[in-house]
This record gives sequence, structure tokens and C-alpha cells, in this order.
Amino acid sequence: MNRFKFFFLAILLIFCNAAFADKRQPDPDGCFSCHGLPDLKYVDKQGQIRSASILKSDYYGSLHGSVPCKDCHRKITDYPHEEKDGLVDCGESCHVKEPSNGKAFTHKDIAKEFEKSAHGKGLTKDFAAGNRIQEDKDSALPSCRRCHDNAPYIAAANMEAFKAEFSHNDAECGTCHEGDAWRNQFSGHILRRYIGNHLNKNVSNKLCIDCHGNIEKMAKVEQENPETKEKKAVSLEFIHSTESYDKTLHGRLLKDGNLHGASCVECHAPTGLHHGIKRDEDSESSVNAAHLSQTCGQSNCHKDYSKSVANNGFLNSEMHSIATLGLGVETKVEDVLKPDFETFKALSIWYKLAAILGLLSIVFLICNIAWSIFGDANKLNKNNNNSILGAEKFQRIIIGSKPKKKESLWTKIKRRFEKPVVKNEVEK
Amino acid sequence: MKNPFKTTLQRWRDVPKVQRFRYSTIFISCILFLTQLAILPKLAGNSDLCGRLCMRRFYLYFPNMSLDDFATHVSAAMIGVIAFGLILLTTLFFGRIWCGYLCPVGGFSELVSRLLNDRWKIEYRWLPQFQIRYSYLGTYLIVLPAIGVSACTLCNFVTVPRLVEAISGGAGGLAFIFSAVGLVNLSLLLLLGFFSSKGRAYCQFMCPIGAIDGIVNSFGSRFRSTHRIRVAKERCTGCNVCARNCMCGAIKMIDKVATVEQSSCMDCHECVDVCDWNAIEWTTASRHKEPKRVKKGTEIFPDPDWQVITFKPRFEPKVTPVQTISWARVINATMILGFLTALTITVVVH
Repeated sequence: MNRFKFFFLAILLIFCNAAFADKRQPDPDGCFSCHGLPDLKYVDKQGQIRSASILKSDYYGSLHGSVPCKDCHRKITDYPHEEKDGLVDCGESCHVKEPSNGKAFTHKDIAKEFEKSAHGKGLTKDFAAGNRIQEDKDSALPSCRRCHDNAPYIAAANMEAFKAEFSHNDAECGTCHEGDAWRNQFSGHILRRYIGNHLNKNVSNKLCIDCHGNIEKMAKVEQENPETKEKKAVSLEFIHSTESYDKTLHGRLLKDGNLHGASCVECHAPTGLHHGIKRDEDSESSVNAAHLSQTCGQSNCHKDYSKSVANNGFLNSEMHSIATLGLGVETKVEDVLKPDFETFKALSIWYKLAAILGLLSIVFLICNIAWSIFGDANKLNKNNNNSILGAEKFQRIIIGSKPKKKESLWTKIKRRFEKPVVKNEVEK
Repeated sequence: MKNPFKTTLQRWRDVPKVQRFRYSTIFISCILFLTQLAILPKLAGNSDLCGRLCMRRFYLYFPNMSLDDFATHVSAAMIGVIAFGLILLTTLFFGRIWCGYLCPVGGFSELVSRLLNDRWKIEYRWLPQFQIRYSYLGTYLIVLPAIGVSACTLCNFVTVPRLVEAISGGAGGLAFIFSAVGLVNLSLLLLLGFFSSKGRAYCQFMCPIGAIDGIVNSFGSRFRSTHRIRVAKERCTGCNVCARNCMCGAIKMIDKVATVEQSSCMDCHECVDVCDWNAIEWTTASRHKEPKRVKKGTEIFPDPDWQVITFKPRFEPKVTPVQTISWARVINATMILGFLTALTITVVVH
């Protein structure tokens, strides 16, 4: 009986799998009949040979693996088609319907938010294979595609395991979210990211580090003042932002695999759709000094602590301090060494203090060496405390000896300068 | 002119054997923890004794802290927590071995201070350590985090590696030392370390680990089976050589008998080495509570009665007002006042 049950289940499972596979019909228009060929190439207007073949395994593994080609490449009606007809607009309405209101899902809100951000002049529509090259990868203005390059979220090799993990979704999710539309499209769209943990903090940081981690490139960036349109070179903090981030506790926790650390986006675009990254000088920016207490005090970060007025000092901790990297110091040290009093005045009081301390320590060092060579160690009284300060107190409190009447420093000095009276009397 | 090297060698030979061993262990641990090599911290992935290695961060209180937060701190500093636990465990049974024999930060300043001439030094051992230490510990644990000064901002552990880095030409070290925190830490290192008598003033007054360790040490001294610095009262002649040599100021002569304050004692064994009368020893209490033999009415014990005699730390009675103006005092007071105002100004401005 048992064996029969097992057999029955096995057959059922096989059918289930078949059913799952049947639902994925991303190619109703037969695009793959050409583009599925392994070595499809064409010569573009610039005279370059370009590959037009699409790897089936990558496509099915990607987030849009179940979306028919024509849903995005809308202008293509029949083949052969023009290259420019393939343009895709990410902000357009989408194949997925939001089940709660029945409207087509759109990326318009994200595109709007993105356009207002520091990266905002990047391409958000008219994507095609042809303009990938015009979309200069060195540009400071990333397009949607620069980050969301539709790389397989789930590698082809893991696809089977992923399907197996999701085979329960009828029973578990279906009790509330009735209808296949939700489960197969909308839930898949979201759950893939979260359940599979394919977009955790480290992955999202990698998107930023991909560009900002390249120090040579970052050094060439010029920031534009939005009002005066003046361009200026970026600061050292900007250039080395990823390195200094790695030195902070935020970065180190994440590197350790501990997800308590804050990722780039969590501070720089904590609200909305997480695309509104702005410069800290912008008054609306989440990392502007005015908003720091809100940003650091997010519900699962430094909650309440940073919002309290008493903890204002906490907000001063630099997250991208180049002091941790030892950069930009060389020039400052040079300034200190210059015998130019005007620059010395301009330096902070700490440098002056350091200079004094340094002088003192040199005096101490020389005196100490001189003492060890020329001095007589036997002169020190072994049974007494020879410290400059506090020796008398030590004798009185710890040893318990009676307080001696000690001459004050002033009388000692006075005595030094007095003439030796006794000698004269003897001579007389 | 005398040969300085010969005197140095002689001085090293004059040092008691245990102390020579102790200086060597400190020296080795300094090499392991503090230099550019910093072998141990680099193995754990951090040369600043920070992050997972930090032994201090996890027990700090901050407002509205919950138990979950505490667990997070513990998990973030796992190695440090384990090391801290081990330190407390050894302290319970054998006294403060970590502080006296291994701690690279206190040990470094002690070694340097011992190299310097006594005449440079400031004596701190007469100050009421117990009160200062635990009031600062309270400030460090609760008040500083509450007013927003993170303990990590003030961390002095990073000073020594930075100093070594700066001396060897590293720009990062220089940058740290020229910062406000770096300068405060440097002056602490100089005033409470290098130029303090015996070089352990920082440990006595400000080290949070030492303070907690001290609590465990004095708690453990209640048991008879723990190793502690114990005094055989009947043997003590009151010559006070132990009190003069004690680097922590834990020994005080009370009624001409050496008494050891266990919360300050670091079990460095120096008092044992200098005592000519075998009146002080790092040992457990004597095994025999009852006399082993009674001869003609005299009770005879095989071991001396090793006792932990602690004095109750209390505020010093008022000193009679001094009539003459002592200029040393005036300079001292101005220095302290200036230091305090500078500290308050930096705290307020930052």
C-alpha cells in the first residue's frame, strides 16, 4: 500500500512540474525562432558586428523570464524588423496587473523619483540593443539598465531548485491570495527578490560600488551646482567614499555577513522607492544635516537614540571620513612644516598644541638621554619617592609618615639667588 | 664618564626574576597586539582591536536600550566578549593576570615609564583610586553614551597602534594624532602613562576593563581557595618597601601593617619579590583552619596565616589648611583646570 502511495505521489509531482512548465510561455510570437539561434549576428549602422542571439537559459532565469518579448518591445509587429523599433521604455505600463486595483503595474513613479535624484539625467526610456554603446559606461549619468541589467536573478543551474521551493505556493499563499494571476506573476515578481535573498544589502551595495568603487573614474567626476550651473571638482571624501565606507562599522558588519550594517541605499535613499539619491548639499537629501536625525533614526536602525536632542553629537560621526584612510594628510603636514606664520595662524589650535607638545617631548627626550649618560643614578634616594608632583602626599597617605615641613618652590629659588652669608662671616 | 649600557644591564639584572618574566610577557604582547605587525589582531581581521575584537563596547548602556540590542552588541563583538569572559574567569581564580602580565596598553605605558627617570614623574598613587575609578566607570558606561559621546570616539586602544603607525611614517596615524581625540588620548598617554610614577595611572583611574576586573578580583578574594596577594600579618615589620614598589598604589600602610586593597591590586607579584620578610605572598589561604598541634597550650599552625586584609576605601579626612602658598600646587591646579576646560569646550563644540 505504501509503495503504491509513493508511486502515486511521484506521478502527481511529475504532472505538477509539467503544469508549472506549461504556464511559462514567454515566446508566443516566436521570437526565439530567430533570436534563439546560437550565433545570430548582424552589422549595425556603425559597421560593427553585434550579437543578436539570446541565451534561453539566461532569459528564463531572469526576472522577465515569463514576459513575452512583445510586451516590452512594442513597436515590433513582424519580422524582419528595424533596429530602432526595438526601443523599450522602462516607465511604460507593464504586463503585470496590480491585483488590488486591477491596474497595470508601471515603473513611472520610480522613473520620476530617479529623474529628481543626483543620477537623474540618465536614460530612462528608449532602450535598445543599439544604444548600449552610446550609453557610455563611464558616464556619471547611469541609465536604468546600468544597474538593472536584467542579469539572471536566479542562475540557470539553480532554476530547478527554485521551482521546487516554490511548488508549495498554491497551498500556502493560495489560501489568501486566490487566483493564479497574483501568484504566478505579481508574487513571483516580488518574492523572488526577497525570499531568494537575491537582493540583500551586499548585492545592492555592489551596484553602487561597481561605479563608485572605481577611484580613477570618480576623481574625474565634476559636480554641477543646480542653480548656478557651475562645475567643480569633487571632494576627496566623494572619491574615496567606498573605501571609507568599508572602514565604518556599517561596512564592516556587512562584510562580515552580519546584516545589521546599513547599506548605501538605506542612508542615501531611505524613503520612497529608494531611487531618490541626492547630494548632501541638497536640502531635500536624506543625508543633509537637517535630515540626519530622521535618517539615522529609522525604525530598525538607531531608533529613538538619534532623534533625541541630547544625542546630537552622535550625528557628527563621519561616515565617509578620509582620516580613516590616511589621505590628504600629506599636504596638511607640509603646511605645518612651512615656516610661514600666516598659514600657521590659519591652522586650528590643535596643531599649535601639537607643536608645543612635540617640542616638550623632544626636550624630555634629550634631557633623559643626557641624564642616563652624565647623571649619577646613586644620587636618587632609593628610599624616597622622587616624583616631581605628589611625592609628599604619597609619603603621607600611603606610607603613613608624618608630614615634613617642606620648603616651597619659591623659597628654594630665593635661597638659590641669595649670597652665601656664612662664608663672609667666617672671613671676617 | 660611565658606560650607560653597563648600568642598564646591571639595572636589568637587579630586577627580580618574576618581574623580568613579567616585563618580557608584556613586551611580547605589545609586539603581538600593537605594532605595525599586530599579528593577533590582523589574524582576526582588524589592526585597531576594534569590531569583533572590542572588549568594551558591548556592555555600554545607551538610552532605550533593550535586551535585543545587547545581544546584537555581543554578537558583533564575539571575540572580544569571549576574551573578556576569559579575563574575568582567570581573575576570579588567580587574580588580575591579564592586567598585570599581558595587557598591551597598560603594559606599554608601564615599560616606557620604567625606562624614564623618576624625576620626570607625577605621583598619582595617593589619590582615592577606588572612588575615582568607579565614578569614571559609571560616567563611561552611562553618562557619556547618554550625552551622545560615543565611547568609540574616546577609544584609547587605537592610540597606541596609531602612534606606532605615525612613528613609522604612516599618514593615517599622523592624521589621527592631530585630531582632537588623538591629542586628548596622547596627553592621557603621556600624563597618566609615561610620566606617571610606575606608569599605571591610566589603569588605576580610567580603564573600564580594569575596573570591572577589579570588582571580580575583590569578590574572589572572599574565598579561601583563590590565589591573591595575601599578607601574613604577624610577619610584617612595617618597612613599607612593598607600598613604595606597588605600581597600582594598592598597598597602604595602616597601623604599620601592609594592607592590600584587592580591587586595585593587579597581582604583579612585585611586592612579594621585594619583601625581605616573606610577609606577603601570592597564594591561597592556608589549608589549616584549626591548629595542627597544640603544645603546652600553644596552638601551632604549619602555614603562616595568609590573609586578605582589605581596607575600606573611604574619602580622606580633611587636610588641615596649608598656610603657605605652594607654587607646585598652583601650577598643578592650573594644569588640571585648563585640561578640564579644554575638555568641556571640545565636548560642547563638537
